[in-house]
Amino acid sequence: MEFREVNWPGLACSISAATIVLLSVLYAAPWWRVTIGDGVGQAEISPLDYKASLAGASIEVPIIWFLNIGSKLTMVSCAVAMFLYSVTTRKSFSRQLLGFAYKKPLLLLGLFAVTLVVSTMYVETFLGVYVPLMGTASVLFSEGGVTANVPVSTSFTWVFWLAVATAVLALVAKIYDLKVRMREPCAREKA
Amino acid sequence: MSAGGNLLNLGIVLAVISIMIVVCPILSAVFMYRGDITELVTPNIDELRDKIEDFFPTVEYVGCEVIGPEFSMKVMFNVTNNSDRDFKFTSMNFSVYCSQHGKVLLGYGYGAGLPLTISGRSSRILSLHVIFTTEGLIHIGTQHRGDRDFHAILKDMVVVAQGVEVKLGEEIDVGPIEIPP
Repeated sequence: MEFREVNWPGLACSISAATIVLLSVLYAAPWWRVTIGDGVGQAEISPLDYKASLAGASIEVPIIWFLNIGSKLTMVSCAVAMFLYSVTTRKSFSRQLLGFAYKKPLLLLGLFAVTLVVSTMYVETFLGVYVPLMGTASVLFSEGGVTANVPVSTSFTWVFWLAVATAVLALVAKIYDLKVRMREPCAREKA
Repeated sequence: MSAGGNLLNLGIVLAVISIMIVVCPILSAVFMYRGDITELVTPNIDELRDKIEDFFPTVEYVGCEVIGPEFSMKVMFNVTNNSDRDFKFTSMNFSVYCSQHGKVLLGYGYGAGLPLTISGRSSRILSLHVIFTTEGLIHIGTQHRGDRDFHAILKDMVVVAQGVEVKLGEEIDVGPIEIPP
């Protein structure tokens, strides 16, 4: 294996995908965080992990745990396949490995973004509660003569941006591969 | 087998892996919760409701006293935190009216010694301090001097606890208060 045969964006993508899985397994590192009041409620969400609590009570939805497992396996398979592809770019099977791996971080990121946007829109439409994707808002609740003004703040964590970088690297790896393969016949013709 | 055949096999294997890693967790979830599939997609509402109820402390009126010489009033409540976590009161403001002559504003009050943190599974006394207005003092002096059964109403209460501002529509009757002659 020669250094110039390595698909470096692909290798970087596999390392960052592995890092995301490792962060999830070790620290349940969220991609997006929502905080309600001062310890009234909190949710830490990513395709790989989910943790939510309201008024000290943990909100557990079993299906999410299983979906998280699926996402973890998806990211692991991406990391492994992308790594194998990146160090064996000249092999006949490398294109298939790349085709298998590069879509996965894009798909996870896309699904996460769509779910997040749809969820916040749903909450605003049906519950009348505006939850920003990033920032702070005051949510007004009124019931039985009691009015509560609840501050809600949301933020994307650095792990989310690592996931964005992983998706971008996966795309760059695919483009890099196309460029290399297009260059090869030209070089052969010149020879 | 030819190289093309091997590649085809690899393609099939990768496609199967792609499907399996998504479908298998969902299928196993459905299998594990086959008795009641709704449990799979909804949280345990009863357990959640119980825990949420515990989160809000219970407040019990203890008593109140008129303190001099500047003639102010102290109202005390016993607050019990039933949850395992700390509960923090940051501020409290309200108006005080005469219970007998409902429209007469006596003064304004605030939470004394705030912020107050009540540790999990414990109780603390929350004191509210009332400062009477000149009109309020005149009203008490002329209408209620020497009363042994004077009642006041706390209205428009705004409480900030755990970072949440709550406006209570409910009126709180406090008394009996002994007014000095």
